[in-house]
Amino acid sequence: MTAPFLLAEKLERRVGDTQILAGIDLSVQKGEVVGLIGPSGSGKSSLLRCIAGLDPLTGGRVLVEGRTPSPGDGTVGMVFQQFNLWPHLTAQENVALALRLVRKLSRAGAADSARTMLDRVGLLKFADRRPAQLSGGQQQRVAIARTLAMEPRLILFDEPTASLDPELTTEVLDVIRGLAETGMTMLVVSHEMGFVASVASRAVFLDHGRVLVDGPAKAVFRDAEEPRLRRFLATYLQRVAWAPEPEPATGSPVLLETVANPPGEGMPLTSPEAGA
Amino acid sequence: MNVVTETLGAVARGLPLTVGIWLASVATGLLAGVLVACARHFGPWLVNAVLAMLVEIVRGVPFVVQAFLLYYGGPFIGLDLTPILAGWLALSIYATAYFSEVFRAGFLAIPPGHTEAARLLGLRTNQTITRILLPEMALSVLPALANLAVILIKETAILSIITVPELTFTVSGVGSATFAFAQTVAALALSYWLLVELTAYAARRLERGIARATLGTA
Repeated sequence: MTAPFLLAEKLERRVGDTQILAGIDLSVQKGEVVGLIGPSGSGKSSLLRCIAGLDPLTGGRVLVEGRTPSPGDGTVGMVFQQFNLWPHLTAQENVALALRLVRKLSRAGAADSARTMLDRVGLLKFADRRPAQLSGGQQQRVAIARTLAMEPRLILFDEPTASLDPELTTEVLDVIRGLAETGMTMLVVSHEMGFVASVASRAVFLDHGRVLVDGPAKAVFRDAEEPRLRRFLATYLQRVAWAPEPEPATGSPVLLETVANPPGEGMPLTSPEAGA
Repeated sequence: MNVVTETLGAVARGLPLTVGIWLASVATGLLAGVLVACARHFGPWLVNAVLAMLVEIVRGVPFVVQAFLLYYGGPFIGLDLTPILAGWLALSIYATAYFSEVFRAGFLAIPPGHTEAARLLGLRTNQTITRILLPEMALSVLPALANLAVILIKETAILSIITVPELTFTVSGVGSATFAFAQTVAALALSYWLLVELTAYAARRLERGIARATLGTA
């Protein structure tokens, strides 16, 4: 076992009387894609923000490649739910700005790299548009390109598709899926269970600031034994059950059956949004 | 010489100084206002607390009293200024307090995520301020800044009391000498109003320019 790429030890974060992270241990190997799931308020986003150094810890420590990362040192990149593109800059300028100011590339060099990155997320033809002139999915892809351009060693995705409609979600998830295939180490907070199940190599279920389940993604979804995780997944499967059947079975109460069964073999793990 | 030509002469003599002190104070106030807002927004809490108190004091005392204090009280603390310098300084301090609040509102209105994204990408705070936050807020703070600039034009009239030979000083001098108070005051009112209209027009032009630069709209 090699030393973990990312090591989070006994992470604690407390704000006033609220315990947001209650002793989280997480170690991630290089190239792993870890899906973080859990109910709202379980600490998923806080965990990412603490790893990125955006929120201060009240206990524990984070090591990336053995060192404590500091925001902006180029180790950790983050993609936000709200995209956080800068509205007064074009897509290309959004990607190029840090290349010029931080990487000290020339204006032309930064523009070139930015266009390469936009091409990678399929948005080269929108390079001169401002965020307001792009769809949510396109904005998020620009945000991903902006993060990638700085060549981070670890990318944190904080509910990257939570404010997108199903179609736009798919185009963003495809980009993240492509990144996973390149061997990028990633932590993805997502409510897209199907996506987590299919892309993540590992799934971590959080509740009340603790890790309740941590294991290979497929096992976590299929053999969900932890009661809180089962309840959590059941609510998702209920929603999936309302999707139109590809080949409607006649006369059988498919929907009820689906709901009643625990997650297992043959269950539609992918949400209809993800195009199961 | 009749009242009309005398009044016009007085306008011509006073106007350059009014415009000059006003522009200088607006420039100083904008610059210092940005700095104060940055220090309050990004600095440690103590800096914020001290600056907040200073802003409250400046906003809490009538400008005429501040001008008096600076010009007549200055010499007691070794600050022996000419009327024009005292006038510029007083108006600049006054402008800084109000401008800083506008910029502070601008900072607060920008989603924190825009700053966090910049921070994670490695931009320094000063780069984030100049390259992202200020351009991003430019369009939304401009009306409030223009509003203040217009108010400051009219506050320059107060400087006549500390003997700055600006518009109100020169024109009301004609009034006192000729007893044609109504006519001279009317000329004075008209002059300020024209200045204000000109400023408002410039602000509208600037607003379109900023919109083009930051939103890409024609």
